[in-house]
Amino acid sequence: MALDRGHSLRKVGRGIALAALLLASAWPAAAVSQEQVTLTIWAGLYTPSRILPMSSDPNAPEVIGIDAVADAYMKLHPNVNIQLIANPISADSRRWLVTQLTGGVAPDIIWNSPDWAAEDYRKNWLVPLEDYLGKPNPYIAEGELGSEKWYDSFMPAINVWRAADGKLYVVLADQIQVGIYYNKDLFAKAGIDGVPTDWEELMQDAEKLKASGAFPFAQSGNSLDQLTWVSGWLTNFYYHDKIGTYDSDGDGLLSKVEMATAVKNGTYSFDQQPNRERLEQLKRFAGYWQTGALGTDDAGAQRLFQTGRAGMWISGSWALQTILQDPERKFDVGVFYLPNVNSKTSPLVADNIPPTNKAAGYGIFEFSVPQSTVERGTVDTAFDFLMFATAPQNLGPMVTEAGIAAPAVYGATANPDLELFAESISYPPAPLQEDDSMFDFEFAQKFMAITSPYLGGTQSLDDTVSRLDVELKAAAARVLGE
Amino acid sequence: MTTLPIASIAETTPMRARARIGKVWPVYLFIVPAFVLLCLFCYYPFFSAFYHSLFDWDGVNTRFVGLGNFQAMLGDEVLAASLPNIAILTAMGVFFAMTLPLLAAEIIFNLRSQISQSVYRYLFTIPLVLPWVVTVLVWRFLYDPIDGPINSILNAIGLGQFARAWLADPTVAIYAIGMLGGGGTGVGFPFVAGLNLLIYLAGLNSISREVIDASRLDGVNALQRFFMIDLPLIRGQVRTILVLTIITQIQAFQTIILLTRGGPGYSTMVPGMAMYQNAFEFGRMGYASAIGVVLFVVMIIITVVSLNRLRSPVEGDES
Repeated sequence: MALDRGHSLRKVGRGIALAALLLASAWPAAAVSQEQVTLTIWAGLYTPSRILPMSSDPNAPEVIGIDAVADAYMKLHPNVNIQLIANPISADSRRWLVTQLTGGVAPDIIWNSPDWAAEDYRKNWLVPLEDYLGKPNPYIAEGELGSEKWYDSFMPAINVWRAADGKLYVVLADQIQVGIYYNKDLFAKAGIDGVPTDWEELMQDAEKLKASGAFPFAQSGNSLDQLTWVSGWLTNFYYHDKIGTYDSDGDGLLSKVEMATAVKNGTYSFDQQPNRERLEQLKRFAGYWQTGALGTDDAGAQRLFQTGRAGMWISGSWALQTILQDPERKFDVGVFYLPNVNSKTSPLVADNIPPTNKAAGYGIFEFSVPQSTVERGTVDTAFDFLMFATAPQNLGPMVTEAGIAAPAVYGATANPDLELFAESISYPPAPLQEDDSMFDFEFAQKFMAITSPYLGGTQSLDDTVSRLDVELKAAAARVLGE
Repeated sequence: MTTLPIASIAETTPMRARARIGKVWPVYLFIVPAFVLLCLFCYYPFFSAFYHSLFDWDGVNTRFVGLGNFQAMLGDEVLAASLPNIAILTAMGVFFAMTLPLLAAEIIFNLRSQISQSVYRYLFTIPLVLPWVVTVLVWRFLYDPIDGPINSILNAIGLGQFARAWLADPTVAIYAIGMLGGGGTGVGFPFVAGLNLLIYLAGLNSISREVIDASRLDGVNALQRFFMIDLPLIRGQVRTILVLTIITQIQAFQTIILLTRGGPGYSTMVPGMAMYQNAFEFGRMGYASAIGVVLFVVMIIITVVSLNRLRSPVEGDES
């Protein structure tokens, strides 16, 4: 599907948001405390430009974010005063949040990455969602999913980040998606017709792009994402027939504890043939990165693609609007999902393995309620607001305006631009998490540090496997609290 | 001559002291906020690091592990990889921080025209106002393997075989960072650290004019004067810059976090970066505190040795 430059739905989104405000205002108020309550919210990527301008351009369109929903909620509950925190998302966000949570002064609702929550619940910083997910969402129309049990309104993606104690700590109401952006002009110049349908075709297309003088992939080698997305994608094919042996609770998703137990029992290691072949495929993939990719950051890789010098760039739905609206872009861009691996690549991989949604479990509407709200007496109001915000009629406009994630709540409207990712959105969550999410951030960093020399050709596969297994065992021990 | 009885002195001195304190106490009050902040943000974390280095501490939960963190450091692959890197960066940092500013200071000092001296002094010190991050980003552009001027020039003059992915090649990345002056000494362009230049110039300007004139009468040439007169007489400045540079290098990782984050692999990892990662990315505050304590001890040892070995002749006479 061809995309038009400068295409934007922001104005439409604002209109929808205002309509939602009116609709929500007419909704019957739920029975919550009538005491005067102040609710503080760090809305993260849903922070409105009113309190945190996203652009220095005075003509940049206004971002409503969570503002319309907050206003509508306050109108329904005049005793609640919502204060949005003007805290930008940056490399320091995590440190800021840890400081706030440590001091017990975090906002009542915090924008929280599931990765962070997976570490923080152990410190008893977050309120588990279970008690509230089992209650009716009073803001969902009777008979609709979620009207009897809030949990029912969420798509399965929310379960990906069930913590080791079996509980959920993040309200995940939308989903980002990963895909491969490609330069249609460079594809045509290289004689590539259509998009690859499997991993072998992807590698062949990369070879053709290289022969035509273009960089096949714009890769950020000094950040985790692209490497581990592909690595995790391969894992799900190479280990497809072993998922049942690790999945002790039979929910079809492999949690950190299940994988750590597999490592402890010796049933999962990097020295297994599927993992060794996976690493070899990663190295094959790395052979098509641009010169100096191991020292390139995300911005550098994106610039290389946007300036038309790389044929493909693996990124996500969050980059979609930036790409579409880039006035400097001089090529036609498309998106396709990571292609399946099959027996053409390795006899270890079966044919016709169904694809999975590898980005499931991540979104931008991802909020937690800190334990400090229990002491402050704001916990019920915080969850009531989250119920209100995740009701389809309120969530849809917010997600549509942002234009970078698809709703993960049944019945909520999506941004039409995200049809490009519709294929991946429809798939079930990937059972195996990527290497950066399988255990903890320390393992993720070490995975990248250890594989980089191998991918760069300065370290053997045996050494890589041996070093990775040392870190794997250490990570498993940390997850199991040993 | 009348003398004041001892008893009277004993009586009046405390009274005078009290009276004096009574007059000046508001002045002392002004430094209280600074002192409180100093204790809160400098001394408390400092002593807290010593204390927590003995604990398994994630920022919230603590468990006493004795010297366990220090023992763990001995088997830490990341720290082991960082030691040769910090040695290379410190050596390069010391070279850039000490030699080129000294050379520039000597040249400026020996200029006949006062106006020229001022102009050059300004030219070398103006880069001080540039934020370090800007300098680092300029270097990142220079090192860009595809668009960077360094590789472009090498290719243009027929030396393409020396072109590299400077920050992505583990064999050269640490030296590429060293060219910036290491972890962050404010060297940058034009490789003359402005602050160091000013310190050297101050030292050279303090040399007695008579000594310089006498040396000229004795037929001492420029090189002899540099090594036999100037250098010994500015040994105090040399020592200050040396100690400050080593301390800065050992604890710095700002450049690395901006350019390579310690990679590829651990080829540009330094102890400061490992400390930062353990504290703020892995939640191992106790272990990070232990790394900090070791770095502190190393810096203290180097400082004491440097101070003892580089006493200036003037100080030697005094002692």
